[in-house]
Amino acid sequence: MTWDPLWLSYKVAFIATLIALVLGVGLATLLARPRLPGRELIDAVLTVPLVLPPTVIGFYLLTALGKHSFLGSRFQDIFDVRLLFSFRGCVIASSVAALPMVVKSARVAIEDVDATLVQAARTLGAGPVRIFWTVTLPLAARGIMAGVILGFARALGEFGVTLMVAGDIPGETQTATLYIYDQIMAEGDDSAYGMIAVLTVTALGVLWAVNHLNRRRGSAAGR
Amino acid sequence: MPPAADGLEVQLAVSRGNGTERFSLDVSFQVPPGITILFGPSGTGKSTTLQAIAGLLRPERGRIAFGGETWFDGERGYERPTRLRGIAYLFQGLALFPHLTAIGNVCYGISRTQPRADRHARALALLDRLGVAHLARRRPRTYSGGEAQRVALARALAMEPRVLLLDEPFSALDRDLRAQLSADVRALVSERQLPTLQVTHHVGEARSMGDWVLRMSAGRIVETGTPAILDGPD
Repeated sequence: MTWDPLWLSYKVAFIATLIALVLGVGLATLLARPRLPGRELIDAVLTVPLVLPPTVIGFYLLTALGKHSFLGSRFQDIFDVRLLFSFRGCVIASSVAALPMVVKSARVAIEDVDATLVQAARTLGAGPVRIFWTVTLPLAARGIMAGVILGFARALGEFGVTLMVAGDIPGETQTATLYIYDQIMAEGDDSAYGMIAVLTVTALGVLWAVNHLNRRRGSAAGR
Repeated sequence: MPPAADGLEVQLAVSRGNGTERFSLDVSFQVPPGITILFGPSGTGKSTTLQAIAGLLRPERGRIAFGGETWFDGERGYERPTRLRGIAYLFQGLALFPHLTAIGNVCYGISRTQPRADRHARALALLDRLGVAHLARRRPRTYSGGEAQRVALARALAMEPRVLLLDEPFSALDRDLRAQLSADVRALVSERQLPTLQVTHHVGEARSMGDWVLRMSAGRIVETGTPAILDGPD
């Protein structure tokens, strides 16, 4: 029995979550600006992966990043590696799954930061960058963390989009969810059960962590 | 009122809302060194005036200048960023950073060109001067009302401001604390010769703290003078 697919899943989910964290917090910071033009439209575009069927997301990604697409062919020319049907494809699929969770939570957390604290920082001589790192980010950290943990769980559980844009290549793009599917369908050996148990425990841990963060956030709202 | 050679000159107009909720503010005054009280009932535009002076809100027209330096010029469309104005602003809700200790809060406004140890020493000296050195390593959640006020005041003064703005600074305090703190503020302001604009709707506070009083009503200044203008039958 092999644990490689599970290890691959965690690796993919970890990298995808990092990407979603950096992109998501950046985008949420933009979206939290009340005067940003078209911000609800941008928000909708970023959130739509939550409600689109995975095959539809997969189709868009294949169209945008496939071998014959503009972006896909440029990438292949420059780096001489393929973007889809590889480890990178898994990461892209999982990032797309995780990003909306991070953006949503981060936007709410950033908008929840008391505006007078930002004003106070301005009167104390801080510019926008310093305010972001020293006031906004620390005070929004809990909410952002909750989104990141949920995003990690989504990335770990990603199935449909991964299948479409990364395939199901054993040893390369076969993540735990794909492996479990293959084993169960093929009535293969019992090796899927271990992964099922580990993924279940991870999911429970995620729920516990998110509830814990949200509770602490409520009680920490002091002066 | 004497001309403010080294003080603040303010002339601004703000209007907001529409129909029945219309709000318009149109004031012109000077703030010399010492405490000038902006007195009037709530909703008359006192806090809005402070925000405009600090650059947290952009007036429609007018001119704000400190000494020879222009902070806002409606005609030229010029606006000096808040962070460069050197304003200490004591917010009504204090706005202490909840994630920082008293030292962290006070150090926030001290120029970072100074070595860290010096900044700490100065913050600690100010906290000590205001009688709250024991809070240095504690966060705002654990402070009493008066303690929070003192830390906020220390933070405001630590940046060596050129102007001090106080928005209902003592409204949350009981009478004894209010008396103590007003004495402290008066002493700190007069030793620094700091032009100070203090908003209040409390007659006693206006009388005991003010060198000058600007009485506001419905977005206009209706009377200016010494605190004696508040004496009388009201």
